[in-house]
Amino acid sequence: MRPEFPAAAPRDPGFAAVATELSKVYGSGDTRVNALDRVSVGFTRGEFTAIMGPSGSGKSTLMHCMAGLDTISSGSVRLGGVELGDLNDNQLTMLRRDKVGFVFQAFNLLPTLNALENITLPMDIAGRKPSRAWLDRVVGIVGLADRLDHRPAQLSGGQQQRVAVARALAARPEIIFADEPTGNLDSRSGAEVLGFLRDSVREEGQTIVMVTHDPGAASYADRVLFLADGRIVDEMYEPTADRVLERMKRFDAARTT
Amino acid sequence: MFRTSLRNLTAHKLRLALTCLTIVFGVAFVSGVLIFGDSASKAMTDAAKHDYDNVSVSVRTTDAARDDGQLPPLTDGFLAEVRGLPGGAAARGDVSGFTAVVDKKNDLVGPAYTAAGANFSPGPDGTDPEYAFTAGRGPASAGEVAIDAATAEKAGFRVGDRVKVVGDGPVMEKTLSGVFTTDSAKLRTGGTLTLFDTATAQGLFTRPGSFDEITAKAAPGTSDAALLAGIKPLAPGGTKTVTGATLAADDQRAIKSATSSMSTGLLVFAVIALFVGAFVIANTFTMLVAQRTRETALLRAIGATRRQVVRSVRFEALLLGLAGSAAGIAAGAGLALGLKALLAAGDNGLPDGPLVVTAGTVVWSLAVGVGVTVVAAWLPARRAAKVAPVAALRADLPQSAASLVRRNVAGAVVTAAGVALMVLVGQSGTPMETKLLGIVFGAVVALAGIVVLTPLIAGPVIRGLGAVFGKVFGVEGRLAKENALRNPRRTASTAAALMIGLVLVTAMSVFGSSLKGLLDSVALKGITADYTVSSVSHRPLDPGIAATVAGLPDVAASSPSRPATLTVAGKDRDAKALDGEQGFKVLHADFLAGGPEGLRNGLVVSERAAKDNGWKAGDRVPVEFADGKTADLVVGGVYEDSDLLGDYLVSTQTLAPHVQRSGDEMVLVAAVPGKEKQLRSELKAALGDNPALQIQTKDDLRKEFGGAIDQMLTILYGLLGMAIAIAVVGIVNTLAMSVFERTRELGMLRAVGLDRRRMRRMIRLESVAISVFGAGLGIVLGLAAGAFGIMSARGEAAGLEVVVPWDRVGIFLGLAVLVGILAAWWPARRAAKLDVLDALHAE
Repeated sequence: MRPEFPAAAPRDPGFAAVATELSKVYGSGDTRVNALDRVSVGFTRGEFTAIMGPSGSGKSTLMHCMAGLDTISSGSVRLGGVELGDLNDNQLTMLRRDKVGFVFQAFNLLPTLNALENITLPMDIAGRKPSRAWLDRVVGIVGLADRLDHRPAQLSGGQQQRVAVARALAARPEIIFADEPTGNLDSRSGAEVLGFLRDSVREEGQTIVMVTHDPGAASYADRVLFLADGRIVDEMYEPTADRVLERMKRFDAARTT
Repeated sequence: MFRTSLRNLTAHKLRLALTCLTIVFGVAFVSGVLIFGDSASKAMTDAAKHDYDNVSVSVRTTDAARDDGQLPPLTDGFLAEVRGLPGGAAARGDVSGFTAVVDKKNDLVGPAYTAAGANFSPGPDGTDPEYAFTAGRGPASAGEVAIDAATAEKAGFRVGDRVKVVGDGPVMEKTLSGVFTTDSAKLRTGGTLTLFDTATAQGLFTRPGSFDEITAKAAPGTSDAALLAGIKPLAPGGTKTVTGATLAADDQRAIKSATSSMSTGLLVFAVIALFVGAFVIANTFTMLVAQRTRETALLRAIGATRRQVVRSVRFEALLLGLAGSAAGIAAGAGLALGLKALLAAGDNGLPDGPLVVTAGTVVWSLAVGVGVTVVAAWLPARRAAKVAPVAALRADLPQSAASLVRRNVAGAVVTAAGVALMVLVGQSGTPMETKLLGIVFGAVVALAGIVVLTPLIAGPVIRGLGAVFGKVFGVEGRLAKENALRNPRRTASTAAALMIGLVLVTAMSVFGSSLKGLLDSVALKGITADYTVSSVSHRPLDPGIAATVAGLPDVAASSPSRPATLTVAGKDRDAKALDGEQGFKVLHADFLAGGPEGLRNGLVVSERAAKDNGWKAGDRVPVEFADGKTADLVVGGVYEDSDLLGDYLVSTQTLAPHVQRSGDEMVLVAAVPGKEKQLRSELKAALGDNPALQIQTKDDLRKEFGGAIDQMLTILYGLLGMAIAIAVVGIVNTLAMSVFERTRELGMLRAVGLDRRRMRRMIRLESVAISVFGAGLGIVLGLAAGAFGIMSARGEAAGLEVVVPWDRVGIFLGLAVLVGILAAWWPARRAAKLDVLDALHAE
């Protein structure tokens, strides 16, 4: 018997994003898979949350549904006070553009644009003028001031991911979703990127949700949510790499027994 | 390895279809042209088959004698002599010329140039074996005519009706004595044939007692050759005597050469289409190979040799070529059917017949389609083999950023060589035909050089276009620009395919508009008449018309323009005869010496003619006329060279005694001031409301000639349209490939907030950038080539100036934008429909 966690969906205005009884079903009949099973969770403003879980636990699906990248089967997702289930594709696109930032494992920069152009791309798409001061600050945070006119091909993996982080931060979104942001990086570059993410939470009050399978990465977060079989099974505040690793081992144990 | 080829083909069905489509288009054009040529040739041959069954020997006026305005010397007397020859079973005399039937709405039935008239030549039994009457009988008197069954049906005439018939002279009204069918060549396909009794026909077409042609049928037991030998010594000068077999062979040869020159003309365009197709196919294979780099590397890593990789790509090309060509041949048959239907609708006088698909057509089309595809895949295949096995293991594939320096240098050298050749030949004094060939060759070389240079040119042009797009469309405009610039070679080859078509289309348009300009500045400028009267069939007018017109009360001045041949210092010269008194009241010449009054009894010549002969005004010079008689004429005036007037002018009065059969090219009429409007209806009435005659103002003439030029251009546009269609398929291909390759980027753009509409717009703008670049470059080069061609031809036609058809250039650019939008339709839809998550996780 797994613990239902948490029992009720938070509705507090202090949340940047809230999921209530969120379910996501893929396929039908024999091939039906419950990727998310009545998940309720809230992401507090100014908090850095890591989502962990074994492969197939639904952690990426949760992120995609929360970020308006995937449709939901039932339940509700509210992002910045907007119910995502009511939105059509165009409205979802606008919502992502205005309220969500993304950091992907594969960097996903446009090779034809230089670093600065990549950073301002979401704002360019939205037709918004970035505030110069804020842009300078973001560029300063990720330490790219002298590389702004470089194309992605001229940057190292770590630098490219820093550009991606800056791109997510620059538009001051309601919430940033980071999908395995350190998965393609060596440990030093990874630590740098995680440091920037944490700093932006601490110093600028940014809300960040990060999916990872690396306990070390999760230790940068304020809170860690553990998913298994499409449900949230545990959470941990002020995590350390060791404690997270311990918790993850219990999944492996559960699986082998 | 063959299995991988097959798998590759089936794995990407859409791309396969697109590549195939370019082959299908190209091959369809080639096979369509061949099938159409064969079918037309067969139909025409069949139509001409029965004509000479009753002809053993034919005596005809030679072309030269006819052109000199001499009447055929084939008289009744000669016919009687032929009839009296031993071995001749029958002989007949024929006259024929232009007459047309007027329907009840006072319009000509059928096109004027397929309308004809001839004599009904009954034998002793009262029938003419040439004509089989379905109703009534042949015309027996001047008041009767017979017409062919198709015409009678079309116009709704029945035996006994009064029928209006027109020729080169006044309208005639006759009683319809009969309706017939015939195999005679005189009834041209889709045309009308009117039969008159022999005396009437002679009155219309020659003169009483004179025939155009005498034919004799050999009696059984006498060979055609024997009869020929009998007739030949009797035949008068100015005629030629041949057997019916020779006539039939001549006809066949003429038909063959007509259809083969038509096919050759069309094949030129097929070659252009195939050349463009080869481009697109090569580009597609390059993209396919680039996309498959990792797969190829894997094959190499697990032990495939370079040779095997190359062979696998070539085998793929071979299969594609076969499939595309087979479909192309089928499409070509459809195209040929369409062409036939189009021509039939245009009343072009092509006989109807079945589609002829010869084995040769199939073999050629297959060979061409497969050959082009395999050749186009040659370099991409070699490129595929160069992929290092290690590429399979690398995560990020290095962009093949081979330097363009060598390519640019080669392109510049070739372009310079082509231009140099054009300039050298253009300035040299070689005769026009050699010159033209040299210039065309130089232009082709220069164009090839520029094709090589397109990646270099693409950069600045697309950056410029992109700046505009960025301003107007914001971020998707900028992204579109960057995408188009990402792979300059790919963009360039895609655009080059379109460029080639546009170069030709634009150059042709410059020729067309310059010729129209020439018409205005030269041909029409010299006409001071208010109206010209001419035949719709463009045949000479009966001199009676000039006389009728001259007698009208509101005519201030009028003159016929009558072609003539003069022999000056042993050389035949084209000349014109004008009315001695009034010629220069309806035509204008800038006299350098002497004046219009010099025409009355003398000779008026152009500056060029005066220089050639060393004449000056007042000289008395010997001139020989077509009848061989010589007269000394005074050079009464020398005028500035004019294409309208030609080089030698005499008066009709001077010419008349030397010409037996005269015909006027046109009659020029100036109205009494203030009576211009009335004069038109007056002319119309005086000419018996004859629908075979046209009364035209200068404006009408301009429209007619301009319309003819436009029609030519439209046909050329249509033919080049195939090359352009292939280029458009090429753009679709490139975009589809780009969308496929950039799936993850597109996913990211969607994730960070680019909506579907703007995604579509981004792809569309990239497409428009490519198409406008290709078309724009083509237009610029076409304008340059057209201008160069016109300037080189200046020596041939005084007053020829380059006229740039800006309106058409504007239309072409507009169409280029439209083509870009259309080509992007499907790729843009695909890009917009991408699922964000799938796209983000695409490899």
